[in-house]
Amino acid sequence: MPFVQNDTVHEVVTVRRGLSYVFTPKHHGGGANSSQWLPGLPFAEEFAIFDRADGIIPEPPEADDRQVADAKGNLYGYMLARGVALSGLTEIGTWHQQLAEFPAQEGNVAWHGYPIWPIAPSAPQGTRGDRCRPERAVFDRMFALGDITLAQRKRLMKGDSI
Amino acid sequence: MKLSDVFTAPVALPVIGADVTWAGPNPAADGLCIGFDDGTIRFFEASNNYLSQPQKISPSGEAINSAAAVAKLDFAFSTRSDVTFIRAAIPGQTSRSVYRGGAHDVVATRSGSFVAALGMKGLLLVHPEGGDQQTMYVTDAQADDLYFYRLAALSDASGKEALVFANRRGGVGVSEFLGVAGQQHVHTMTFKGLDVVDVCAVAHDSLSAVAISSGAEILWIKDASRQEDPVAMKLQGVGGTIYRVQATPQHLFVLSSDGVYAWEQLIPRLTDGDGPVSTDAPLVLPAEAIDMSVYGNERLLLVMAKNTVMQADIRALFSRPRSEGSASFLAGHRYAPLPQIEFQRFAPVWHRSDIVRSTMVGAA
Repeated sequence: MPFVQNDTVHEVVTVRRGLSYVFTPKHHGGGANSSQWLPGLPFAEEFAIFDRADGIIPEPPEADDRQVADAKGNLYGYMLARGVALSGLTEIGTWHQQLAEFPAQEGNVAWHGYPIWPIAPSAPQGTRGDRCRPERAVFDRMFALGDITLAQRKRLMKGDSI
Repeated sequence: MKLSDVFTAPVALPVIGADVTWAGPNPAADGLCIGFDDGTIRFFEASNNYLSQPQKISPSGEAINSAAAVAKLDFAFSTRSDVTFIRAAIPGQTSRSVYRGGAHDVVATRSGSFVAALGMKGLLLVHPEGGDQQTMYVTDAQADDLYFYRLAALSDASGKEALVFANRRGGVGVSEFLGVAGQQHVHTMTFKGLDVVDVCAVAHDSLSAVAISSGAEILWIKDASRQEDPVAMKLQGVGGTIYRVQATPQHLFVLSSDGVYAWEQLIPRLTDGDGPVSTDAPLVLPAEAIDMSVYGNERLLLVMAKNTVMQADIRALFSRPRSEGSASFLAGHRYAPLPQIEFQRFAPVWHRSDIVRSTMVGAA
């Protein structure tokens, strides 16, 4: 597992917006209560998930970008099972997560990410448990991109694996 | 054979509006309880085709993913963001309390408690008290990495109760259920590569259960109150991503992303002897469904990707000429006949653990 002891900025930036990315100790072996990337997932693959979340522009003439983001600009990434659309998602986190969240950053600050919980953890009174789960618009976007089926979208919305 | 040859839609749901995400028996009448993606539920009564108005359940408005009832009085509904407990003492007068954390599944025990699977957080245990305050027990977080994905509540005729868990890579977990308070002892059994995604009971008054893995391995648990290794066997011919397993005392049903697979009279054969299990090829029905449940050992319910609940009479399902549905999926959804197949039991190297999680008490 690529454990990280210090913040490590990746040498490559995203294709679409040139965003830099940092691998953080918290999500690479540190913090028992923090979401962890799956052991064995190479840094390059983790970055590739981020790169796709930012929306790699396909070959021309297609101008459509494939960014997956919520209203706040947070990005969401995933790996298609066997690299094939509609065949499910690969696990990328130690708690069976199949999606990663990349919180929006200001300016030139490097982005970071972590596998996102399929279900929300218990939240203190008042916080309403809105942390750590993507908005349903994210699943709608994944469906619109043709990456998941209608059934898979509904299962993700329920907190089920696909 | 097509799905529509044997399944019908018992209730017409509006085309526009909330989308169904869960369905199960209506605890108050012959019919259905239906959960939707906006956190509402509706009750359907088959005798008069009555569909109730939507009732808002989830404060977060998330999709209902499971529900359970104790008698006709107490209800629990889970979403990926909260678990809501409702007591309906008098029609029109209800009290509710909410656990503000997500769950994958919630079940009711025979003794009248609710247990919900909270993923890596463990379990939520509630014995309903009514009123706007409800004592809730949550297992403490441990570094044992055990993930609680789905569960089933079992009991025998003597009143002994047990829980069985789908613990993903932790395998299958069993626990005698002694109440909501105090420590929860879970005995887990797994082997290399196993990823258990669902469990189900097979009969009333029985502590037997079936678990299924993402790799289509079936685990037969003879008595969930005891710490005996399950009987393991591989289900052949199942395609797609495994979603659910359901059983009656006779039959086994598996839902995958490809469709429904139904094995007639497989359960009794699992329990007899130690040799290979011969069975007819499964009935295979292509379907884009997201969830499945068995209703009173007589009906099979499917929640479809497109805002529909489908229902089949299980006896009618197996009364069709076998050649119509004995098929396997090939690429492009073409079908080819499957021969009679033999499920070979196998003896994995089991890794066993005993987990003790204390419960923390709180109120909501």
